[in-house]
Amino acid sequence: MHGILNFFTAAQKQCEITYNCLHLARLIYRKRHWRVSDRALRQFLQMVMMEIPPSSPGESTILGNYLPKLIRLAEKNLSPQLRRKVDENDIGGTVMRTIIRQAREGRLTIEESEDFWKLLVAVTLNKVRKKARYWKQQKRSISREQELAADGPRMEDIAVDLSTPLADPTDDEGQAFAVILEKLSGNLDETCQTVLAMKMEGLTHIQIAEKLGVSTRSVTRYVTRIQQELGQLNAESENGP
Amino acid sequence: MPNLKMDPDWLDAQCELYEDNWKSNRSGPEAVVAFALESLQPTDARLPLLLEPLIEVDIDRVWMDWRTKVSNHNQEHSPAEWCEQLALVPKLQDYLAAIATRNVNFSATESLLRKEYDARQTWGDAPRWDIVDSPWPNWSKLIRKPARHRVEIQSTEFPIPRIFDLCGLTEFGRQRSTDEESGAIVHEASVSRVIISNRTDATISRRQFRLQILSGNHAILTNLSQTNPLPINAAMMLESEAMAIVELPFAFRIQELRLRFT
Repeated sequence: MHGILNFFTAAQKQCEITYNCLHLARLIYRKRHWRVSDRALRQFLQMVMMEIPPSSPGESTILGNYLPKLIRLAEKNLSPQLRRKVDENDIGGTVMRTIIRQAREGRLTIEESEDFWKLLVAVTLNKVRKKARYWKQQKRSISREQELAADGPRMEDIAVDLSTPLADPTDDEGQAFAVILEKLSGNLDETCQTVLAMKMEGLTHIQIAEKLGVSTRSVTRYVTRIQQELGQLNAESENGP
Repeated sequence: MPNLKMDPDWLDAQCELYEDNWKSNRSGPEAVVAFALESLQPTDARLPLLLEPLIEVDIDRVWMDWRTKVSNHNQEHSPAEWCEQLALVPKLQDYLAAIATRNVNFSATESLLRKEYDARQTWGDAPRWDIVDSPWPNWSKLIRKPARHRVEIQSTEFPIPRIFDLCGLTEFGRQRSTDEESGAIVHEASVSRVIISNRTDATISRRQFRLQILSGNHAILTNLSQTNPLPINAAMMLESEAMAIVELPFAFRIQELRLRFT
């Protein structure tokens, strides 16, 4: 049990980095706000470029990468009253079971890791809403629990905002990103730079292929090149000046 | 099968070179085979390793081209002619046939089947997964993706819209004696059938209309009914057995039903 918990804790940290970095990348890219450097941020581009292999989201990957984040999401969207009735861990688990079942039945194919995350978020929030509806029904209504009425949000306030962004990046983070990106871009040819920009705008391989008039295989090749360059950049920075 | 190795850089370079063919409009099964045989001898055991990615690249090309062609020139042909044109777009079987004529030992791989299916879903006729030829019984589980096209049906009977996946060829009509109630979808051998009204509703024919996905954003609408015209919009009525090309997303009303295709 402890092993599993440790595993999830580690995975959660990793997830936070991924999610924050991805968000940061998008924000900064849109604002064209590049300046300074920070080692921790170098890894995010790799994560931006990373994709779950099509049609084979392995169970261990799903659990390792997403479950802790989903549990937090469920927790965030359950009111204190509702949390007395529903365990966010149960919701996270149910979501995973749903996803895994869909994957086994061949009803689930994911092209982009971000699509997968969006799907998980949608399923999780759907489960939260269902639970909320269930516990709102008159006989078991949590609003009848008088002691809880005074504090905490009302059931109506459980409204879920899928698009709630993380906090905006700080100037330092923005500047760090800028330097990394500049270095990376300097090592890439024009096509790879274009692909990198498109990936960061959230385009899929297929959309990029259409825009550039190349095959999806070529897009995969460009993305691999970008990842290799980034890996090299990371290695150089870790070895020090 | 011997464990052959192919230099990935060389393979990439070949694929890149082949993609340059696109600019000179060389694509299709013959172009793939000719290109591969310029690089390797017919007896070279590595030939299949080269053919597979080249076919993948080419499949992208032909179906991307197909979509562009339909989008830009859909007035050039009648709907029936577009159906004929669609049949001419090379399918995986055509590549295999072209390779076989050169006496090269090559057969379809799972990856190629998946590639063809994905490309047709994205840019082409979005075939139903179970009507694509495959030597593997469970291949659909590997390739099946959420459908790209959907139909949303709303009526007094279905105030909450019913949503169905649209793949390839879908017919819409009144419930037949053997059918389920309205609001159901029945998958028959080569066509899926959406039941849009109950048996007693004579205003809608048993086979009222058919929608065939033509490309990524176009479809052919055929009024199958011999008696009931189909009001596509205020200005256009699709007469019995007439066809029209529609651009997706597209919506129209038939009696009290509202249908929206995306």
